[in-house]
Amino acid sequence: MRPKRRLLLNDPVLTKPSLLREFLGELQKSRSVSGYHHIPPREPRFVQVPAGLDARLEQALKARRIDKLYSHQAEAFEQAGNGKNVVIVTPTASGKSLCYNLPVLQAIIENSDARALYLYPTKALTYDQLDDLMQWAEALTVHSIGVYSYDGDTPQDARSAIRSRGHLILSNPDMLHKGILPHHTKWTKLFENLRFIVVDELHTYRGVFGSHLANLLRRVSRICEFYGSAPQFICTSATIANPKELAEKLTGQPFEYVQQSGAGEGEKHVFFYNPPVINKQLGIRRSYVREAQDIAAAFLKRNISAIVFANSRLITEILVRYLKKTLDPVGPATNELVVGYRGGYLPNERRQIERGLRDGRIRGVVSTNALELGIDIGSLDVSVLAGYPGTVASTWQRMGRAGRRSGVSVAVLVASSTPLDQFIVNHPEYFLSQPPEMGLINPDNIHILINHLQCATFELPFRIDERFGGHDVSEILEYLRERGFIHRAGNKWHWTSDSYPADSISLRSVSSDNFVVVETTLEARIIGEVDYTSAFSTLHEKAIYLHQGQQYYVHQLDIPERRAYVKRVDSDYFTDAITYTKVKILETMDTSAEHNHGEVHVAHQVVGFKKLKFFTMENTGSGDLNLPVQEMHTTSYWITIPRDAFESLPYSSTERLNGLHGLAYALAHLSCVFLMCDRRDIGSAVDAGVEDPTFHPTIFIYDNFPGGIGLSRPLYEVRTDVLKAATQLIQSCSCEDGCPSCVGPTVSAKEVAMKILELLRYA
Amino acid sequence: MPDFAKALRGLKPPRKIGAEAAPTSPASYDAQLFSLREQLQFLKSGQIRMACTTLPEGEIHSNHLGSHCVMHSVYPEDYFHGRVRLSRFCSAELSSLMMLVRAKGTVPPRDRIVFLDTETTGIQGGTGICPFLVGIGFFVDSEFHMIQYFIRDFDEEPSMLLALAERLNRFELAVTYNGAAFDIPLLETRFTLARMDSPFREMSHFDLLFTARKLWRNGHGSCRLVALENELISFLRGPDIPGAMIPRAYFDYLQRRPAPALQAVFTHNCQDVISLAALTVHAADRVNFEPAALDEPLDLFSLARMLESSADWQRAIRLYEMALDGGLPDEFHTKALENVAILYRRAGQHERSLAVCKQLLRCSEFSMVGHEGAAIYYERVAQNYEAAVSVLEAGLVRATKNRWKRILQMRWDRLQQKRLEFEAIRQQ
Repeated sequence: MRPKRRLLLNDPVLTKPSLLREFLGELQKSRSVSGYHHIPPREPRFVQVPAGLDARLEQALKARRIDKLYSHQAEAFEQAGNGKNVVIVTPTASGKSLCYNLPVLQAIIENSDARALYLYPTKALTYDQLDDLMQWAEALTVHSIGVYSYDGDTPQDARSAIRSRGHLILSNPDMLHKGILPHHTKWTKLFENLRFIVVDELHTYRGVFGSHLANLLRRVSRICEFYGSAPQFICTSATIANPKELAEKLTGQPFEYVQQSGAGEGEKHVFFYNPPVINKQLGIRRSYVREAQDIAAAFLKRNISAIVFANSRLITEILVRYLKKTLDPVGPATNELVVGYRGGYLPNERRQIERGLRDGRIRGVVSTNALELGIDIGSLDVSVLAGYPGTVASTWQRMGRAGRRSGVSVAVLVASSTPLDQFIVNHPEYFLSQPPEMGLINPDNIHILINHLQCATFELPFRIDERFGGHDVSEILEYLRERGFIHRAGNKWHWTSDSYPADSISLRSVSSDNFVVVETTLEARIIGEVDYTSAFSTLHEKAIYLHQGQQYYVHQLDIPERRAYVKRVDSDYFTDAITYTKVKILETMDTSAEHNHGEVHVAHQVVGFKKLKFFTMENTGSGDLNLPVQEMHTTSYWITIPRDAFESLPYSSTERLNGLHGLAYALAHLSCVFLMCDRRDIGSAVDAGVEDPTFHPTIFIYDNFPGGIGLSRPLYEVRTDVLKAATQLIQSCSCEDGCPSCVGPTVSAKEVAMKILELLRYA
Repeated sequence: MPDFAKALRGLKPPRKIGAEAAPTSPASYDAQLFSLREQLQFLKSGQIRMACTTLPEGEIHSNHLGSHCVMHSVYPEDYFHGRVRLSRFCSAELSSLMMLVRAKGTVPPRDRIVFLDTETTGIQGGTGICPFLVGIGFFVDSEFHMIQYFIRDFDEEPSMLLALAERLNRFELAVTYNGAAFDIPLLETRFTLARMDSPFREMSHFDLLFTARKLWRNGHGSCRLVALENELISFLRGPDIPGAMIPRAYFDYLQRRPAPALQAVFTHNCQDVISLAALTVHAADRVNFEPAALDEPLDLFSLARMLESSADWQRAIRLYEMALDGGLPDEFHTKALENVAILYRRAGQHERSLAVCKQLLRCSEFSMVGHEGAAIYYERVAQNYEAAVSVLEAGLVRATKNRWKRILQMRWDRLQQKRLEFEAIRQQ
């Protein structure tokens, strides 16, 4: 047995060149590795090229040295050929773009008027696919096939040609929303002949973004109906629990589900790595960023190529800097061996990095989720995840970026100290056994729906008997009429506002209300935007606002004008807002013993702030704030704890309250695991019933968007799993009295939280 | 089925803070485009009943798609719009104007030309914007006819579009002000939405705005129609409705609210169309007739530039010189001299070109053209290399941009080389 060293990778034995396998053996022995999983290689399943495939397409495939198809590619082609909507779920690098390109190109070969619209969630993905499709268009010499991207970067003078000549239009939902649909009369060629809509990376359309996309597609279908087309959908997705349901909910149409991937997979070693505890009292572990850096460096030093994923731009930059420094003595060219990749880099720079990765010039890359989606970067050996990405699907996507084609690859998940990460790293079996995450959306969120009805009426007058997404929306239209947005003439509603509704609606948030951050250090300039809900906690007066690693002091928050004025400072502290949240139950829709689901009113107020020293997190002061209460009506899941039992727990009332808060903290984090959502999508609050003696102490886990985007009901349904997971998490946490990894750093919280779980019969 | 009624009740009436989330209110929108004073002036003028002598009674016209409102008025042969007699408009003159600015399309006989302007429910484009008033003007013999198509509600639009299309089919050329970017695509969109063929497919189009910018931007700054009609043809409108308030006026009318401003919209539209015709006459005059020395020198300068780019060099030189005589601001003065120097050289009048270059060398501001032009003259015409070199050296001292220095340096290097070779030959 090796001595219990902090990090095995510093072992001098390993700095000598060694084979990957040998190295893996070492890694496996590390004490910090909490789980290991071996995925054996899988043989690809090939089938003959379908008989119906056009000879010219077959020829073009041959030119690419493809003479057989993976089984799922052929199946998708057949299903699409039969006029079905198809959703394909396959892992990274399984040739999924052929799944939609073959049927689309076939349709265009058969009918030179046919058109297709490809939607990608990001611009970078569009460009990646654009090159490939252009090669296809060149290879097929039937008639000229126009392949164009259409987004904010498309030059004005090229747009009109694209609109009339483009057979394949590659765009994104935001452009469709703002640039294409409101001007659909300029796109008559496209909408009259639209045969296919391809939605790639379907799993990214969940939560708010997905709810918007569903409404956007309702608008598309109205426009298509006007021009007499009825496009088929082809969607591709990473592994999620409910791809068929999500596709059907997004498009409002039935789907065929192709899930058997025929692509081969190389052998993969997956490691779950938990940084060692360095302060048992406080439950503090060694920095996961450092650990991830050491692990990546160990591989890179052996000339094993690696991709490191970080969960924020800041950490990406930090890791690049660390890695460059660590690897510096190795060789003169090291500086080009490791690069960073994230949103905010210029397109050319990104293309260069992608090329460098493909041809092996670049050996290491540190990326945000920007490289998680299907951009082709060739095959890397190792993927290191600095922190759990938040969802199982993302985790597999990131791990899949190593070893795309064949051979051995390695993935290492390095956990941070949040409850979510700790739960995953300590329960790898949970992670490995199920893809439980669901793409949840609520296309009928009233706020989102109202926004899109405005856009829809702008685009095409709304018939009084017309339905939207299958719903009778006459009441909402009446609401819009009262506010002067629309006007009825004959049997149609018409847009009567001199505004352009799509401009004020962002697909990435519920409300489009933003605060602008204005730097006034020298000349006033806008440095960023913060959405309304988070503005009060990050931009309140005297707050330290962090942007691009630079600190800014907020000296004025102008609420009516939606502006925050900041000055560049160099402070040794940052601020953390103190918030007060009061949840009121409006209507209980389901109840089962202590568990409930229903509608609530949430009043959220930022009441003060703390000043915390960087690194030491020492509290160096605080202040009171008087900011408006933010109110919303949303849905929630809540647990009521019988008052008598709660009060009979042998603790002081403060300790009991801490326990309640601690449990809410753990539950909120774990709910995200089960709901496949971001931590910010969920809010939590407790009410110990101090004001009302008849009220039972309650923990609320609520949907953090006005109107709700459909997270509460599923949470109510999976509550048992969440509560069990919380019990395990708290039990197995190595801290003594509560730490950020379980119930938060509060006195006695851990013990009381366990007692409450006992009351609820989970412990 | 979701319970929308309940969800709607959950939406609070917009609070003061949240209110801005709604689409831009008309008041704040106007403020971006029009001064408060301008708006106030308009609002006050509403009290005085506007004398709409040009707005005749309307008639209801019907076709198989429904009905709409039509207003027809006629301006006699001797009608003057400002100081332009409208009936002077002539195809041939428009034709030479369009040739000068290289506009596409051929000019048909006068009675096949239509002037057009729309009033709409918004100015930012998109399929949700509706033209509720379309004004067209055209000549029948020597009279100018003005027809306005108006819809009393959105459901009258198809009928109006049909009537408009039938009328427009009689014309071969449409003249607009900013129609290329706004009115024509907007109407085409409406025809598409109504599933009709656009009459514009069969027509040529001339957008006077582009020409107006070339002719008058230097001398007048704003090329808004209202500004130009005032300054160029001395037409003074009465109280006019600011463009940004027009949608609101129509919305008020639709909601059956009192809409006193609507009347002003008809007048506004009518005057826009007639001013467009009158300005077209005026613009054609500028290129067809010799301008007077008393004209605004900057306008002469602008016209000279247009002529220069259409290779009418002799006339361009003459106009530049007229502009210079009239007095130009410094930057334009230098630019005019430079252009004249180049034009003379192209025309082979080297001595004159040199004279202008010398003028340029005396200017307080450095002139690249002046130094280059003089050097070229000395080198090629006078073959006086010494003089050429000294002009270049003076230029190198004065040049403020590195790019200029580089060019002068290259010329200097080449000249030195040439001088050496010349010396060598002479010594042989």
